[in-house]
Amino acid sequence: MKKIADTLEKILKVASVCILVLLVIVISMQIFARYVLNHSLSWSEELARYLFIYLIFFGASIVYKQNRHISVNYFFDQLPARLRSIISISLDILLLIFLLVVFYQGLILSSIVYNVPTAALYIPWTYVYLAIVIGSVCMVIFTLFFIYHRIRKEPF
Amino acid sequence: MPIIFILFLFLLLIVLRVPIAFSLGISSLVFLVSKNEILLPVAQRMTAAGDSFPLLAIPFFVLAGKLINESGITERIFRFALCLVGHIRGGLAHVNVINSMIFAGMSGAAAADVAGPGAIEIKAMVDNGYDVDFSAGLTAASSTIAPIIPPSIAMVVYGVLASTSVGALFLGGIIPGIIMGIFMMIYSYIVSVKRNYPRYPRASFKEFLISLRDSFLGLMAPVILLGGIGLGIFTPTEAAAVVVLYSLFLGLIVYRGLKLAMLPRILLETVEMTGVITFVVTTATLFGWILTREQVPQLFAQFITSFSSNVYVVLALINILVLVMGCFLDGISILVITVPILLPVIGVFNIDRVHFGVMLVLNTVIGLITPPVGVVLYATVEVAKISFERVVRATLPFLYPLIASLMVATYFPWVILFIPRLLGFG
Repeated sequence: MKKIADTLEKILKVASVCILVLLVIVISMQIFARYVLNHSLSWSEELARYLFIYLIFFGASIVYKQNRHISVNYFFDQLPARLRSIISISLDILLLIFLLVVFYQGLILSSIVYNVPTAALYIPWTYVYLAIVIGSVCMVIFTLFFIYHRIRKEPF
Repeated sequence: MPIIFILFLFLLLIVLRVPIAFSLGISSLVFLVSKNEILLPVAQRMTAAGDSFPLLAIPFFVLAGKLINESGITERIFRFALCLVGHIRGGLAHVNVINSMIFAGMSGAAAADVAGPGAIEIKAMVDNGYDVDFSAGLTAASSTIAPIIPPSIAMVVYGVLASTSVGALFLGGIIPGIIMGIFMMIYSYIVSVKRNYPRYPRASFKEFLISLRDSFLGLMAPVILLGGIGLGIFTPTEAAAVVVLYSLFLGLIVYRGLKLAMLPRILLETVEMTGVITFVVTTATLFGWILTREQVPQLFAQFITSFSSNVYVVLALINILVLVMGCFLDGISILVITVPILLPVIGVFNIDRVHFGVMLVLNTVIGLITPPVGVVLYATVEVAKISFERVVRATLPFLYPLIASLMVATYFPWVILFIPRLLGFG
């Protein structure tokens, strides 16, 4: 289980770093084309926005795995340890349900828009919504990993 | 389920340590389920929120800030600041503030300022006989200028949430940021005279010119950024990308602090920080959509107006509310929670959205140094190597200059609006 989660995290990291580099290149090309070649690119902004959506959901998944999304720990830390571990598992299950809904709705959404092309790139909108589908399924896997380790009382 | 239960659920989830981003998402989902509605908007609104060109400035500014920090320019700018204000009583304290102001012109987040230039500032001050507490407190406080003087990640988030020009917000932050710096320098001067802190001999004109030459290309980064946005050459997002390229040029070719081998780590850190900041915007957009549909902001506006119809009182109430939130939440979380609710209120009172945005961000940066939760406080503990309690006690007195700056930004809107209007930004 740990191995799957770690491998997945590594893949997400490599993919997001590549996306970030691509974003810098695309926007630089946009500026270069406009001011040096005097020709505005029609596709660059749209491509950048869609890549950015992938960056958001991939980045969010990586941070989710590392448990570094911003939360208020102050009150929770005042609770007794036993209560904390019960609450943690229940909340993980709640998160799991939320993420499964996001995943499932994302899947439906991307299948209905298969025939709808985007404005500049003319690619199916499916590819845009795939970002949230992939991101949420990764977080689902990470949540299962958390729950598995919490039940076995292993550190992770 | 009535919307009030959803707000209660949201608070409960936060208190139980569910990340803010997920508390917003789960509350929204529970509401839609309780109303028996289709759930497609969950995925649709979240994706639409990310489909934003202005928001794309965030990874670029994060990346640029990290590149600048490691470019090898930190010490040169420090020396430049030393030549500028080192001869005043308590010289290094003023250097600390000026240094933070210059770095604020390149980076958009306060914690980065503590970790990079802050480390040098504290070391220099302690080596020269300043109390470590005063040095740590000042470093923490002066780093809060980073999100006010552009670029600013918080202002990008506000601009996206409030559909307000990010360029105008950036330009609006310049004068308030300078005022914060001046107020902190006045406070440091008073302390320095009382404790008889040292001063440096005045730098000769030649020394000044040398320090200027050494740091000149670095000082051009804020000029390119602000000039590009102010004159309408670049959008903020494009300007951010230009600053990324420029800081690569500085770090790899000019100052050579940056090695190619460091790039994967820096890029990865940028991706992670982007994930933290932008994901919460996606679920906040969903939550905001539900609040708006249920007319919560209108109800809140009515509630506030029933309290008082005086715009000064209303702004004071909002400021107090946000300051209290700042004790427990980070700046971005406060923005994503409050902006959708507060916008109709400021509409009723005819408050300018740029004025309100800069004021709100200035308020949230104070939250970065108020206990029990404050990102900058933790960063300062790491750098100054003193206990959390000591950092807190050392930082508290700096609330005077910061609150004073907030008052100025709140009640003298022209301080904020002067530059944007001068350059034709609304």
